[in-house]
Formats: sequence, structure tokens, C-alpha cells
Amino acid sequence: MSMLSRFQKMNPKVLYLLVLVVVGLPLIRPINLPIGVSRYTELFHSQVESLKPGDVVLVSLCFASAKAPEFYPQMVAALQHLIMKKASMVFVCWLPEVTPFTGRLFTDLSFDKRGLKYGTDYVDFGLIAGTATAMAAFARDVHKTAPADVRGTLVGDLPLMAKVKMATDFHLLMSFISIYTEDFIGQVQTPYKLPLVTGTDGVSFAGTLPYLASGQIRGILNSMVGTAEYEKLLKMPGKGTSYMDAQQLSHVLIITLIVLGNIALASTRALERSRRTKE
Amino acid sequence: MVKFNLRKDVAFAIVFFVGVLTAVEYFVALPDLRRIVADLQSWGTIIAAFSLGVGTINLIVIHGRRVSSRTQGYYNNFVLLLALTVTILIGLWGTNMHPAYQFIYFNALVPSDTAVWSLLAFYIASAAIRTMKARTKEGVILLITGILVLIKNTPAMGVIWGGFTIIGEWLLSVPNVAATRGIMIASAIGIIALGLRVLLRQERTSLGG
Repeated sequence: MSMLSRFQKMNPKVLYLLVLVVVGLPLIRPINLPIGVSRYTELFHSQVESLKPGDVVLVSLCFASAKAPEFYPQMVAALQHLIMKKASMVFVCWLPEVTPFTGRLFTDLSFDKRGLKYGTDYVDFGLIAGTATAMAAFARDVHKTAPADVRGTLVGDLPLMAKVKMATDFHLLMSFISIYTEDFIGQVQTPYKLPLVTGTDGVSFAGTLPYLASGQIRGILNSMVGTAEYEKLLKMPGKGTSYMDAQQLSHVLIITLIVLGNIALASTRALERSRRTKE
Repeated sequence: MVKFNLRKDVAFAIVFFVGVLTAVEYFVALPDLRRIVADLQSWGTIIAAFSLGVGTINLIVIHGRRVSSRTQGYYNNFVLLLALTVTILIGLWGTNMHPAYQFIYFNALVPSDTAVWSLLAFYIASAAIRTMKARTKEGVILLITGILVLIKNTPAMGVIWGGFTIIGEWLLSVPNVAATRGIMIASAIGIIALGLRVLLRQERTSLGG
């Protein structure tokens, strides 16, 4: 059996081992492969950059906890930028399983140590159940839909919420979303014509692009690549940058194996053809 | 004679009333109608919150039954019930900001969820290598576009030749957007048709058959 036909019948376990090595080694010992900045990330960055101090941003979370490695570094990078711009933030979760992430963000980004005051600079409403219906209700009347925050404080007692009554009071919508994207755009962004930037996972990215082309989304962070690019723009390397080595090398491995697989297929066919001609 | 079914007919009347009002309000700006629909939407969020409770009770009943009847693998059901009870109790006692709740969430749920999800990396690598073969014309197109998009998502390759990024972005922004738009418009029309069928009581499964 030739090398090429042996390659075509490669045991999947060998492939799994190769993927493991290629993903694992750069995580242990980063090699700092170059990272560019895509148009999508630049657009996201410029939207946040255009905020003025005190502008209110709705930070909306809607993803499965399994996607945390893609979304959490995105949120960290984007929120760091919002803090730098001195923007006020209102957090809302549309799925029950993402609610603990807001608390984690406040701790990891040291909101208290940075002088951000709860109720004045940021508010967390936790889960508002009902997805599309909840989004529509929240956009229409924030105080009625979310009468109290996640800590049980009445919305009237939160100074930040005095200037936020409905969707049009937000200066920017920032959504970290892998499902119900069309619901959020249909119920919140489009009826009130608000600027929206969104962080997505790799799987949802291609499906989000029509909204960028139509102007409904003003900027996209595409999964880990987007995070790394954003960290580069902020000059604050974080988890996105460190994970990118693993992702890039795994892509190179897959590309190499696909190309080799096709060379093997073509050579096997050529050999068979020449054998048949000889016969 | 058509027989009156209290459960189904009343449920349909509610669906019809709420559906028509919500749809009309989107197009007609009447302050009173707007107020009514705002109230209906608020009720929607309250009902959705209640449904989480109903779901939890359902989960407890189903898994409790399996534990009490000692069906095969009942210990898995027991672990689920135990985890559910502990998490609910901690959540009720100290909200989801409580360190114990956060510990369970970030050290048990998130790692197990992400571990399962990350296994896809291995299967996708294996599937890509096995299926992306230049056997037909369509296969060649899939192979080339797939590789170019993979390269586009590998910024280090863009350093070798900037054209990779340009081609990759074009593939995503033009053919991909065109195809995705087609799918979106088709599914939106499908949703409108389904909505109309539900409102006209043609879609009986929505009210339990």
C-alpha cells in the first residue's frame, strides 16, 4: 500500500491526536502568530469609540453557556472599551443560563475598584423571560417590563434608570448573541432605528452578515478572531489573543490535511486510470 | 353540530385576540391599542417566567418517578435532581451572584457544556478531511470556497498574501449574504404563513392537536 492510499485510510484517532497537539501546545506555550484587523471589528470599534461620557449602552446577553469560551473574552474586551469611554451600561439577559456571566464580568473587570457605582454607572436586570415578547416589551417600556433589578432594587430607586424609559433612550445596543438574533433586531433595533453592534460565535457569523449589509448591524465581533482583533485595536492583549495561536494552527492543520487528502485522491485516480489503459 | 370544547375554543379565542391585536398595533398607531398591547406583552414575560417554574416541576416529576421506580441508570436522574435542588436552594438563598452559585455554575456547568461543544473541533476536522474532496464540480467549488474562508479566518495567512483576506471577505459578503438573505426571506414568509394558519385555526397542533 502506497503512502498516499495509506493517508486516505488514516485512522481518525491519529487525526484527533494531531488536533489535540496543535490546539494544546500553543495554549501552553504561545507563539504569537500575527493578527490583522477586519472591517467588521473596525466598525464595532468605531461605534463604541463614538460614544460620549455618560451615554447609555444596552448590553444584551443571549447565548448558550457552551459558547462561553467564544463570548466571554468578547464581552471582556468590549466592556473594557465601554469603561474607557465612561459609558453607562444596562445589562439584560434573554436566556436563564447566561445570567451568572454579568456578575462574573463585574468581578473580573473590577467594576468597583474602577470607581463604577452600581445603580449610577451600571445596572443589571438579569433574566427577562419570553425572548421576542420580552424584547418587544422591554424596548417599549423598560420600567414596566423590568420593575426591579437582579438585586431586587426597584427601578425607580436606580439613578441611571431615571434617564432610560424606553429603547430610544439607549445610545447604543451591544448584543452578545448566538440565537434569537433576528428577534432582537426585529423587536428592538429596527422599530426604534437604534445603532446595534453585535458579538457572535463562529457558527452564527455568516448568518449575521446580511444585517451588516442592510445597516441594521453596525459592527460585528466574529468569535475568537474578532476578540483578538478588538484586543489589538485596544492594545490590550487578552484571552482572545492567546487563544488565536491554537485556532490559527488548527486551521492550518485542517487546510494541509484537506489539500493532502485531495492530492492523494487525485494520484490514486491517476494510477488507476494508467493501470486500466495498460490493461 | 359543532361541539364546543372549552379548553381548546377558549385557548383559540385568546390566541386570536392577542395575535390580531399585536399584529394590527405594529402597523396602526393608536394610543389606546398601544397601551393594551404593551400590557399584553408584559403579561407575556410574566407567563414566560412562570413557564420556567412549570418546566422545573415537570423535570422533578419525571426524574423523581424514574428514581422511585429504580429504572435503568436511575442514579443519573438522582444526580440531576440533587444538582437541581442544591442550585435552586442556593439561588433562592443568595441569588445567582452568591459565590457558591457562581462556583457551581463556572466549575461544573460551564466546563461540562464547553467540553461537549469543543469535541466538535475533532469531529469537524475529521469530517472536513473526509468530505471536502474534489470528486464533482460542486465538490471542487465547496473545496475551494471552504479553504479560502478557513484561510480568511487565519490572520497569519493574510500576512503571506493579502489577497486571501480580500477573497475570503468577498465570499462572505457577496455570495454568502445573497444566499443567506434568500433563506431569511423564505423563512420569514413561512413564519407569516404559519402565523396566519394559527390565527385562522388551520394549524391545530399549536393548541395540542
